[in-house]
Amino acid sequence: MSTQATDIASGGSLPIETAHDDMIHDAQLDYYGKRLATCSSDRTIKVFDVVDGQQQKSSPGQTLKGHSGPVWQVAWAHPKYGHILASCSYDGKVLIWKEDQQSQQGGTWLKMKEHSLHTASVNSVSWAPHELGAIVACASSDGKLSVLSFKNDGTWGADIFNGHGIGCNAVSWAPATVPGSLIIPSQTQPSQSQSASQPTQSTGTSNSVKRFASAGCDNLVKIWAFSDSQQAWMEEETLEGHTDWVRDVSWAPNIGLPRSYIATASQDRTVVIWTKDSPSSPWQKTSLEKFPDVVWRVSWSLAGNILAVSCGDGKVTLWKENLKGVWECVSEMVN
Amino acid sequence: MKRPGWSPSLTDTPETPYYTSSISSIVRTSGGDASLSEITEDEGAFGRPITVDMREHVHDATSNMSISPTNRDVVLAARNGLFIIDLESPNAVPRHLPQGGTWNVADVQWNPHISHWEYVVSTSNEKLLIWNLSLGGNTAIQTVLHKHYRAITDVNWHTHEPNVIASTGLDSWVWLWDIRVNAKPTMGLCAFNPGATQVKWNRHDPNVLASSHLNTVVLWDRRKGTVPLKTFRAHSAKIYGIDWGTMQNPSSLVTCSLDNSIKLWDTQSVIRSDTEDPTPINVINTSYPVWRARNTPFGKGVLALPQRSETTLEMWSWDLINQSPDAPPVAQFAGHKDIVKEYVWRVIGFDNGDPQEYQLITWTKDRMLRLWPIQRETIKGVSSESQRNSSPVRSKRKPTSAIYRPASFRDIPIFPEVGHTVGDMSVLLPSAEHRSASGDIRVKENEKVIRNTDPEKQSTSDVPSGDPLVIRASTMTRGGKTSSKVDLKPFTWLTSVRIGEAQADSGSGHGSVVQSRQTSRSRPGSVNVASRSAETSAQRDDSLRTEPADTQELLKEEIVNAINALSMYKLELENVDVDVSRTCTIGFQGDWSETSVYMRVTFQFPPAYPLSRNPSDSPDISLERNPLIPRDTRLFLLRTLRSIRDRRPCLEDCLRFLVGDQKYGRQQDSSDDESQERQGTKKAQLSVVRGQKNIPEFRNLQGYFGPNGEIICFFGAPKRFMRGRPMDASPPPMSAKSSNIDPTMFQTGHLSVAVRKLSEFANLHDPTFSLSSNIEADNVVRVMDQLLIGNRRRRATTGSRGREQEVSAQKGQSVLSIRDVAHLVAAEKRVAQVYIISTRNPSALCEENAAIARKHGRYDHERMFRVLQPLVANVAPQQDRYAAVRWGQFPMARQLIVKLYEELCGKKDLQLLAMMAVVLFQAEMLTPNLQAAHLSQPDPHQNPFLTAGRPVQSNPDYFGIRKLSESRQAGTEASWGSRTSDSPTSPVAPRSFTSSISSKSSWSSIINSSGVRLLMGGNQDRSKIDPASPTEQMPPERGALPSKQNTLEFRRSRNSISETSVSFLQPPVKSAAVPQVISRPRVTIPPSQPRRLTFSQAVTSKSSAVPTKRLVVDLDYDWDADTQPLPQSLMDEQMHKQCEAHIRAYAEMLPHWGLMHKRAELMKCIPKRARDDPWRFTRVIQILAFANATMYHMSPPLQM
Repeated sequence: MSTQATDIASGGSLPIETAHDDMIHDAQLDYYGKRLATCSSDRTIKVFDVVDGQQQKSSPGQTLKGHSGPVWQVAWAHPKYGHILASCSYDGKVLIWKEDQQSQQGGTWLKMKEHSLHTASVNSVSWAPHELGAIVACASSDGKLSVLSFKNDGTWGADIFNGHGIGCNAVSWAPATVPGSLIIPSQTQPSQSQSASQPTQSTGTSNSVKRFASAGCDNLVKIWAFSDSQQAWMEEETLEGHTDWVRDVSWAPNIGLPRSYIATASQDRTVVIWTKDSPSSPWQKTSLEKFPDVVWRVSWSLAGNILAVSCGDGKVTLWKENLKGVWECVSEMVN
Repeated sequence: MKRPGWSPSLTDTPETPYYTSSISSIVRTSGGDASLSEITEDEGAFGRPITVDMREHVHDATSNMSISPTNRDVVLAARNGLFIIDLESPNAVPRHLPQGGTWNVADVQWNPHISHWEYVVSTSNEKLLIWNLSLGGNTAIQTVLHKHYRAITDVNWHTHEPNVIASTGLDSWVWLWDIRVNAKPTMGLCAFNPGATQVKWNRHDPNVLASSHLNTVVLWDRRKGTVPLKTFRAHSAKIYGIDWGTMQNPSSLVTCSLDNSIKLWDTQSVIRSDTEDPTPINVINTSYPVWRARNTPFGKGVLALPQRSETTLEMWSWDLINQSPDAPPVAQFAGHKDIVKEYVWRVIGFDNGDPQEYQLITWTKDRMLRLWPIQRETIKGVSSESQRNSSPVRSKRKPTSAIYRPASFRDIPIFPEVGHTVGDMSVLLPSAEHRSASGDIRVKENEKVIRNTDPEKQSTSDVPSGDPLVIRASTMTRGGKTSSKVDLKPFTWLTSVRIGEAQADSGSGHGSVVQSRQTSRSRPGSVNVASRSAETSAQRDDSLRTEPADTQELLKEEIVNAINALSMYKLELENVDVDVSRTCTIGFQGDWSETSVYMRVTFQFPPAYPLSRNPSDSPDISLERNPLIPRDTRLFLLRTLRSIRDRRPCLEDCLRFLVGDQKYGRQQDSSDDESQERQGTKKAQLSVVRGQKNIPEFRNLQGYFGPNGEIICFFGAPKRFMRGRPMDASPPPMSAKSSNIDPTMFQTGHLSVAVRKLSEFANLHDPTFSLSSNIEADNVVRVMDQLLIGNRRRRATTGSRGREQEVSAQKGQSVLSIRDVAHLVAAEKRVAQVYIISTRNPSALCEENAAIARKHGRYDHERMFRVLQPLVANVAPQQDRYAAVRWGQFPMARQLIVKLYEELCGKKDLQLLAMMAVVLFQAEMLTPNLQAAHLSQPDPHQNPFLTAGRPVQSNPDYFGIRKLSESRQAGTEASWGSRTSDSPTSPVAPRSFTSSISSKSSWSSIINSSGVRLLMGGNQDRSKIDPASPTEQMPPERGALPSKQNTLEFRRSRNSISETSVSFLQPPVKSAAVPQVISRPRVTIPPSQPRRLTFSQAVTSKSSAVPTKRLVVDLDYDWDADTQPLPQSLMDEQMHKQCEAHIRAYAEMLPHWGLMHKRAELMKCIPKRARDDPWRFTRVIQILAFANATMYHMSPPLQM
């Protein structure tokens, strides 16, 4: 116990030097928390191994080059697809990288797919829940959203459609299970829905579980659902409430409760939590306290009970909903 | 004006231009002949075939077109309004007059009289819309005439009276209207037949009109009233079109029909004849149903328009047909890609009233407008012999005098104020803004660049400039601009117009006017000669016209390409005039001052551009004056532009330079220019990134959750400059607060940190627990270690503080840290690893997991398990020593569970929710029957506690009461522990109550509230039998334990029990059964007893239970399934589902921690349903994963 002086379990934090030449824009841990991918304005992406919060000295990070502009976000895919990383950048491209796993040491990252359907900076990229397949959604400043899916026959299909007029800032997928039901979508058996005790499954779009939320420069958050009948993405709902660009949206993971949560961060210095008590009820909004500066990012913990809010005043605060339904700040982190 | 019938008409064609002086006052008078000739030669696109692609602008198919009497504009009618295209500047954006409507337009016609040239009539189902193009305001519709009760199919302006319209429709009525009288039509004529298709006024006699109904033609004279002159059957199938003859034969009528024929009739003879089936003068048989057949404005020909399937228009000469009925058409217009919906003739250039040249304008179904020049040979072909020789069409177009150049309705005509001389105002006002018809903003350059702004030249395509008053008037009289739904950007329009498109068919370079068609029965001789000569002449014509056409097209292409190439920079093509003045204005965002500035640049291309590489043919470039740009920068820009523009093509390069595109980097004159440019471009690039209005300001600070309860965060460049703050390789957390230079103070900071951490650890897991001092001791040690280490480092770096500071400030932006907040996140990996999931016995599960939780310091988990345990304690498989008992005995169980569940839901602790679900499911699975019958069952285990020789418990002690009593004893775990060893049957429930009470859980709240009463009351029933049956050695301490406090409580509650027992919904127990139980282990409770318990019974039971002191427990139960009371299900349906969902969600979380085997165990806990396991494919390799330390060798099943 005494040797764990610098271990993160004690609450300490060790800085990891990424050696980027320019500002870092995103850092994501992979599914197991063992690998870290960072991306920066220096147009590169770096991948490190981390153990217990420390960068492993044995394996230095790998650098992935391929973008011609600052890279805004990276996203790890579910490990069942292999070691896949998606990145999006100012140059309008979304790149999908795959690691060659020939040897433990010599794993190299190769660009597997380049997606350049957008005509302006792609601001955000997000993988869908793995039950839906290998699908990635991208939001771009050309006002469009695109959904790339890797099909069973090895090709990539792309759907691109207008999202928010001036530009789209973020996308976040809904969890694959519809809260309150036991439908778990499966790629091969779409009609897996349990006959036993499916309660109020309203027909129509609430049945479709391919759903994501997008945040745009038109101050709106829109929820998109894939309609099987029309084989296209349809705008399902619009959440209004922000008075400036919505910078980030994050859909809380589903832990089995019937309630859904979406958190949105906006340049109007507020974070709004949208809750929906059941698939058929409307979204209700709750705001957290006003922040001193623009809010850039919101992130839910894996169990969906804590929300990390990254604000422009240099602090990352953690919020939790108490039993009365009020969100309170439980922790604060600064540099 | 009235004329006697059948006198020769004044004019040849219905579209004779007829200019009035008032109109010409609007027209710009041009400076001199030189400019005029310039205009006429490369005029609009008269000589060349033009293709205008309207597809992007007109979204639904329009099928109607009409030409203005001045032959300058063409109007296209669509559902959403009218489009007016200026034929002389087809590259200019058309004017759109909106119309809200959902009806397809059946017909549109421009008033053919110059005096009323602002009127256009169109149809909207059964209404007539009279448009006045000079109207301002929201809409240009002046009147709506409504008399038809079915859809209108045709309208026709009167050939002599400019205010009269005839309309007809499917209701077979013909209504005559005077637009000066809005309310009612002047006359109505009805044919009482099936609906009409066409109505046409005679070109000569103002009183005669004809209408076609199905396959009959009806001739009317409006003086005669509603009785027609003649009705005759003209065709065998539906007549589609009729047309009166021109001057040569004004009483002739051409009809065309579905029956593939065009017939020429002499109406005078038809009227005079008696028969209903007269014979036509001439018949042309075609191979297709003819949609329209009209007389040509020249000669004696007819141009037929096929209805469908054919895309070629054919022109016949009546004379030839006269000679031989199978004569081939004189000319064909092929090359349309789709069927032609409408055509009009355009005449240009009048020399003393003689038309000089003709043009055919066709509108096809694929929304393309095409202009076909008519060759002289064609005209000759349809002219009669006499005509050919007598009045040849002039070979060379003479320049028309300015007075005949009409204005275009593409722009809103401005009626100038009195006193202002229109024109030349632009000279006075340097940079006046005005809006042209399409709503573009054009900024006039100052007088330096007068060449651009020649108002005369531009007069044809824009409103008078320069006069602010007029401008304001123009904005007010903008017709329908604001409500325009059509987005007509100049750039889009520019790409829609194509001039001189090479057609497929014929050999000639332009157009495909095929002179003749070889048929077997043709007359080869003359026709061939005609064709050959036509071809050669066409080629000759081509060569004359190639140059101007190409440069125009080239210029247009260049502009289009440049804009496309730089689409990333969002250039705005504000104004472009490719045809006449060859200028274009482009707006862009450039970073030439501190912020990015929106600027405009105007290029004026000389005529020889881009073919000539002569520097004198480079475009003139002018930049709009902008106060934000310093003078030096402006000069620099202009200088550089001047050097760039000599390249061919130069537009794109100039634009690239202006927007600061980094790709621009060509050879420069001097090196300092270059470096300056590089800097400029780099700066420009960055600012483009920032200045792009749609790119959000990028973040450099973020905290994002990882899968194991850690947050990975980076904070970008530090916002505050922390002076003197020593940067360290591993600063302790919260060190930002200790921004002091003094090392001693820094140590103080450390101390404060240490203290803070201590308190943190105190609150770490269980807010109420404060007893585990040993754990805290560990933490203190940890903190102290860190302090020491930190101190050592501090000393080492004091000297190099300054240097490090600087270095790390720069480095700061690339550093991130991973911080652990697992204590907040609540779900923890290390306990997840060790929690037991699958045991047979849920209560044992609870116990073991509680112990594990305690060991790991998760007191909240422990509490949950402890609470849960007694609730499930009585469920056990038969083999077990715990005899199976039914749920219903403990009715509170359900409520407790619900309460506990709700609390966990509120905390959103997935781990605990899932564990609880596991426990509950297991419990459920073990109960043999799950029916919701209520029951009560004595609990032999609980019995030992019930009457344990306590004086307090004269009242039969229930499980709950006993628990209460024990629970109020604090810190007695040890004693309990020993006790449990003594009494194997006693569950560990008491202990759980101890901790639960102390932890202020909902349990205590239940206990302290009225729920206690219920508890008491409920259990009271059951315990009637209890006192006697079980036997157990009660530990002696038990009697000594209850405190005063408990006694009091009990008494109080006891009292309350008696009050509430009646109301409690528990199945009664017959008091008679009490004594039986004592002897027999079996307890039978008839389930169908009335629920209510009488007070007397309660009292009785009380009294009977009191004296019992000893309990006997017989462990060898022999439960008979029949006599077993039916168990009550523990969870309701909703909760059941949710619990399953919790398990699944937790099962999704486990793989993040690599606990695949745990997950497998977990999934087995879900009761039997079809389990869709998305991870099923990984089962095969789960063992591998389990064995292998790292997870990265899992071979993904999905090969990508």
